Amino acid sequence: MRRATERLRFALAWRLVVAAGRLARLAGHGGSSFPGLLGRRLDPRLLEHLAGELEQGSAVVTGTNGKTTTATLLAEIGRQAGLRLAHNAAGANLVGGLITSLAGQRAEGARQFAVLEVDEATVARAMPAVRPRLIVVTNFFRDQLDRYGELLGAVGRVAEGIRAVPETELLLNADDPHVASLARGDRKVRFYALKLPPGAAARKPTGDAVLCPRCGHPLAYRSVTFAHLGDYACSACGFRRPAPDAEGEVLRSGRETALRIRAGGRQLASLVRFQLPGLYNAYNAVAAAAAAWSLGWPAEAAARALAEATPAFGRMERFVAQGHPVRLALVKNPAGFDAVLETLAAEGEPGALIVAVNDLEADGRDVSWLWDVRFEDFPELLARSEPLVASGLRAEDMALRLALAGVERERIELEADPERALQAVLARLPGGRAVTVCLTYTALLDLHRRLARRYALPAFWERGARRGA
Amino acid sequence: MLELRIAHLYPRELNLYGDRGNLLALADRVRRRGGRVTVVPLGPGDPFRPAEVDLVFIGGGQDREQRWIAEDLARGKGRELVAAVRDGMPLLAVCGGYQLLGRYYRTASGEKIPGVGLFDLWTEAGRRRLIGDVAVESDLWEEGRRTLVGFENHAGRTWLGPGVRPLGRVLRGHGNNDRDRSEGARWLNAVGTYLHGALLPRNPRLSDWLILAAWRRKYGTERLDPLDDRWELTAHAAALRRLGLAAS
Ligand SMILES: [Zn+2]
Repeated sequence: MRRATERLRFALAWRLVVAAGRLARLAGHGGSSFPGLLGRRLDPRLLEHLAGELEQGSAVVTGTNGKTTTATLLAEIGRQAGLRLAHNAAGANLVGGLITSLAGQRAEGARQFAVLEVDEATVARAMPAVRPRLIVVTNFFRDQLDRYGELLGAVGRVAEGIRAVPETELLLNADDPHVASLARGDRKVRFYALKLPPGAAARKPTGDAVLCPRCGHPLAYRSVTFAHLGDYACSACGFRRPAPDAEGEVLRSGRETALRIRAGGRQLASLVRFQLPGLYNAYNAVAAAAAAWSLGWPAEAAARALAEATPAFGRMERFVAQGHPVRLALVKNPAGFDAVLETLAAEGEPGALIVAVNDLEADGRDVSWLWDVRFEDFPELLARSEPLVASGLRAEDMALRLALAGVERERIELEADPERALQAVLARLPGGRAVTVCLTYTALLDLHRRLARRYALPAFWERGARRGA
Repeated sequence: MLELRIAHLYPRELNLYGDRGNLLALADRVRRRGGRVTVVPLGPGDPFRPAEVDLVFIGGGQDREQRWIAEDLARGKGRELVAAVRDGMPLLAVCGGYQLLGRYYRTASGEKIPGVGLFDLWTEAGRRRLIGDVAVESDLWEEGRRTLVGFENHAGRTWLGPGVRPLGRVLRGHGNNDRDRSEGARWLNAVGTYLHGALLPRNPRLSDWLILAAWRRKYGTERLDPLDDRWELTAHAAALRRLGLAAS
């Protein structure tokens, strides 16, 4: 009897979320949390029920950077392997978004598996309900410090979520000391890592993770791949980079990335070539392939999905406006912004560059991180970007940031409204020249909503479902 | 050629909240006046040689890093810093570095991390973090009061002893302890503060105060040539405006 009322409540709550999601979509709202939160009021255990209904369970991807790309790649591998799976799209990574995505895609037949990107701060709350088969942790970078208190706060929250689900396996990035320190003796743990060609290893670690997560003593690095990721060891307590179970060897990195991926002592993919630039995307690819391997999915599916990945996959959106190719790129922390600059510099012809920085809650109220972005390291890119516009609620700070990066003060333009900045640039840019707009989270969401109708852009939260169709 | 040699203390260990922006701002202002900047990074174990630097900068960090750094400072480096400042060397300490230069820092878990006592102040962790935009009115300048703007994010409550003056009076935000409206501390040419954001880019007058203190000591410089500060002052004014204050 009790079971029957519970099932009824679940069915009602699920239908309510689906209906509310459709309504929100019709009304053109980008927000994906609301329908899920509404359904949870009817059935407080809605997330647990939705996740429990999945025939083969789920995988969760979390970490500061790369979780969207990694989760999207993993979902694509799953689809290549023939699974009817649900996947929450970029941004819908809080509890409400997870429910909306699972409910909506369940209605479309995605009942076998789910790949869920989960915000670091939400992991502790969501894991007891989701109880995934696998948790993948990509990295910990300084991101939105004022929201999480301190970096160690984010690590602690993910650790708490892991502790809550002792039967869940872990896949950890061995190259990030804070991630590797999440390993626990009570369960199956696998590690993935990146191997660079010889000679590319003589870099210095930058940023956060210089101290041993176990004892606080400074870590010594034998090699560094990216920021604070690499081969490290602590001379005080013996904590060191774990031997990886899955490893990606970078054969070539630039606009295109070529990788060889090994897992469990055998070749998973002899040569993967994909169109995502930069070492950070090599990490994402290895994480996704290693996760697919951990889940027991066929290796060919991983190779095929990686080969078909395009930049639109990750967090760059492209469309054509008044004859100009326009790109929207999400920037939210120094490492991610550096990666975008690296991509633009590798392409050569930058065209116009607009940078829009907001400081709302979801962006992080503190914009200090802009000073850690290495604009100084891309003087040619900045010199050739024309025009160069600072925008967003913190347009003045962004303009100053560009000035202190060495851009001539006369060349910097100020337009607080990103859409007006874009239209003004489009109106005067010589034919065919490209426009890149880098935006923080709320600025991107807002601009996307305002451009969606005019340029027929799909809504963010529709993308995952569409590809699944 | 004019030169500014900056000792950057613990750049790897104390580097939270865009501290790098402070160095970029100093370097930019020296370069635009035809000078040259050298940054000397000093990590744990590296000796501090006051004869080889003109200005000291120390940034912010987390509690774990602070403990480690406190040990290193206790091994003589702290004493040498105090001697250099007493001799007139300018110094800027932000957030965690500011706390470490006081008498002690008591963490949330009750542990007492000893400071070097350069500033007569002490800090105790509070329950709630003090976070947000700040505007301060400072009398650092002979010409009169000026505003400073920044962003604060600290759990520590800092209390000033009689041996230091506050850097300024809080107009908006929390400041040292959220009680007495004081922000930061000043002793001779040393300035400590919770303001980052980064601090110096949006406060060019404070940058120039530090540069002038260094060059007065080194070259006998009396005043600095004015610069094109349109973006610095635009950002400063925008920060005041967001806090409901008129530009100064
Ligand atoms: Zn250790």
